[in-house]
Formats: sequence, C-alpha cells, structure tokens
Amino acid sequence: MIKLKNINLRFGNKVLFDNLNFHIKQNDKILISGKSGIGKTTLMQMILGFSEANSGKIFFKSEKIDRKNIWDIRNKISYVPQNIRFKHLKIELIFQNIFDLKHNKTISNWIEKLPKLLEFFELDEDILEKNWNDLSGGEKQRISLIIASLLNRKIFFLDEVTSALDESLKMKTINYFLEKEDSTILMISHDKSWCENNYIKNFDLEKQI
Amino acid sequence: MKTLDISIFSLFLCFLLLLISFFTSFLLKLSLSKTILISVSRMTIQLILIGIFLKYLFKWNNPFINLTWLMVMIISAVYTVISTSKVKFTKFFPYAFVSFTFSTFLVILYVNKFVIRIDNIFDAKYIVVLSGMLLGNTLRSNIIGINIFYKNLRKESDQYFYILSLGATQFEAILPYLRESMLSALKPTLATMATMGLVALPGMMTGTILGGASPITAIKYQIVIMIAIFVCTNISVLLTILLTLKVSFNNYGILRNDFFRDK
Repeated sequence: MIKLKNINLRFGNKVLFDNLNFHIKQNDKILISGKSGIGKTTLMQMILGFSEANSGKIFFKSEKIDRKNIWDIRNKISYVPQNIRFKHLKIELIFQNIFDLKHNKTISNWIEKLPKLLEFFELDEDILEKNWNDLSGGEKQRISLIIASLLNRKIFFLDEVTSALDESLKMKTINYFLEKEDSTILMISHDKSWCENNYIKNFDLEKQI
Repeated sequence: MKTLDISIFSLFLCFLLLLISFFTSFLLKLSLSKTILISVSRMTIQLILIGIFLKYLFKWNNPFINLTWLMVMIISAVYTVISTSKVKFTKFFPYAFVSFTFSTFLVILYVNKFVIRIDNIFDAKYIVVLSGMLLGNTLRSNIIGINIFYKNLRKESDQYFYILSLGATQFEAILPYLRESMLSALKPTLATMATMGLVALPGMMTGTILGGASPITAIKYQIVIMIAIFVCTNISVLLTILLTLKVSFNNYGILRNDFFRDK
C-alpha cells in the first residue's frame, strides 16, 4: 500500500537515509525501531509530505506521491505525533475545531462516539472542561489517541503514543490498535510492550544503513 | 494666530540646555558626551535636509513629485520591515510593496477626499505629511505582525504539520497563526488609542495646536490619524501575509527554507 523506493536524505553533511527501501502492506502492523536521531519520525513525516527526500520515490497505492495527491493522502492517515501543543484551549473546543474543518464536516457521529472512547481510555468527562495546558502528559496522549480514532481513517501513524501511560493503560492502548484488523498501523515506540505481540512486524532502521 | 518662528540665535540658546546633560554625563562618568554630540548633530543635519526638502515640496506642490516621494517613503518602510525580519529581500519585497502601497493609498486618499475634503487630494501638505505619519506608525505594527507570523510557524512546525494531518486545508492550518499575528499587530495601537490624551499629548495634536489651530480642530485631526493608522495596519498586515503565502510555502503546504535568510 505504501512503498518507499531508494530514498536518500541528507541534512547538511549528515546522511540520514542512504537508498532506503520500505514497504507497508495493507493491514500491516509495523513497529519502526532504532536509536534516537536515526530518522524514525522523519520517515513518517516523509510519507505525509512534511519532509522531502533528496531523491527517491514514495508510492501510495501505486500512485507516486506528489504535490497534488498529498492533500488526499494526508486525509487518509491518522497521525499522532509526539508533543502535541495546542494553544491554551478547552478540550471541548479542540474537538469542536477539529471536526469543524471542512474535510471533517462529514464525520457527524463523533459526538456520540466520544463518551465511550473517554471511558475506554479511563478519562472522566470533566476533562472536556479543562484546558490543554493543564493536562498531564498521559492525558494529552489519550486525548490525541481519541482524536485519531474519531477521524474514521484506516491508516494510523503513531509516534511514541504510550510513553506517558501506566502499564495497564499501555497494554489496553496497544491491544486497542492491534485489534483493528482492517487498519494499517505504523508505529514508533521505545516500549518493549509493543513487540511482545505476534502480529507486529519490526522494521529496524539501524539495519538499513 | 501664527506659530512664532525660532531664530538661529534662539536655537543656539536651546542647544545650551544640553550643557546640563554634558555635565551630568561628566559627573556620573556616563561617557555619553560623544554619543550626545553625534545624536544631536545627526538629528540637526537630517532635519535641516528634510526641512529644505519639504519647503520645496510644498512650494512646487506637484502631484507627480508628491506621489514619487510617497513611493520613496513606502519603499523605505518595506525595506525597514525586511531588514528587521529574517525573510529574503527578493522574495518578500514585491508582495510587501504591493500591500503597503495599496493600504496607504486606500486610507490616505479616502481621508483626504471624504474626511478632510480637500480639493486637491494629492496636496503635498496633506498627502506627504499624513502618509509619513501613517507609514511611520504602521511600520512598527507590521514588523510585529509579520515577524510573529513566520516566527511562530517555524517554531511550531510540528504543531502546524499536525493540524494539516487532521484534515486542514492550508488556509485552515495557518488561520491560528494569522489570528495571533493580527492580534499582536493591532493591540499596541488599540492600547495607545485607549490611553490617548491621558498620559501625554500626542505629537500630531501638539503640532496642530502650535500651528495655530484650536484644540478642537487638533483633536479631530488626532482622531482621524489614529483611525487611519489602525485601519492601515489592519489592511497591510493581513494583505502582506496573504500575498506572501504563495512564495513562503511550497505546494505541499510546507514553509520554504529558501524564503528566509537563515537556514
């Protein structure tokens, strides 16, 4: 479904990717691993068109990603980055703003789904009244995971989304995503808990260089 | 009532006041004497030149020359905005120039035609002097607004990417940044307006009163110029940002590095 072919990427003198090839099949659950600074996040951002390779091609469903189709491709992927920083806004308003975006207007059932997801991720409904900046790291992660689920997309890019969760929530979150059989999931995590699952394929960036 | 002229000898007496500053500088070892000398000389020479220049500008009062001078003022205003921000001159200049020219002309011609109702809307006294005040004041707000817009977008690129990934169009994604920069650009003028007359008499009022007008005429001019400054800032910041979007972002909706002077 997503193919990276002969990707080269340098930042100044530093070579990040040298002829990198990577293939994500439909419904794959892939964990990208490797030490810090090796380019795990950059890899995700390249597929989303946020970072441009010096050379090489990226295909999405056999279509080469370019400036025209990137906008549609982004709308097919639920991306949860690290360190989301919303302005000092009420959580309720954050949800409202996201589903007020032109593209998301068609998602009408998010309000009905929200309470169940809050409950599943062990958040009290009062949290909707709180401001983003007043949430703990773990609460922020769970809210961003809820946003990702509500977008009704079939591809998930999850960048370190369980780092601030306690053990039981971590397992719950991991299972929640891995049980989505009809979803393609690409994740980055230093957490060993993700690997303990048999469905997961490991893509070790250190071995690619 | 006519403004009393100041003779050269009186001006010399005014310079004598500076002896107090030289004395305190000497007493407190501020080492300011040289700086005072340079600053006062620069001010004097620059003002003498602009005085002679304006004298002829008013004497000729030729619409073509007046407009040319207005363009020179606009170009130096745009140049100042660019030199205090990190954007590349060649990429930014044409758009900022269009934006500044449009907003200044729109506001000043409206004021001259419909508010002050002068027959010749290109009259040097009005168009040059009022535009000068307008540009001098909108300049500061533009520097704030434009710098904040691009600085925040660069600093928070991750957050901007995230909003794009949530399904935002490019305009939807930059909207929070546009809002913030507009607010920062407009707030200083709003604050000045809110305290106007309480803290200090504004320069334009002082000038109009000394020029022989009644305080009532003076405050009317002050109100006109403040509203003109506010609206001109509003239009120019918004227009400059909207017009530069085409060159500052690539087709993927990502801020281009080559739009800026530093990498």
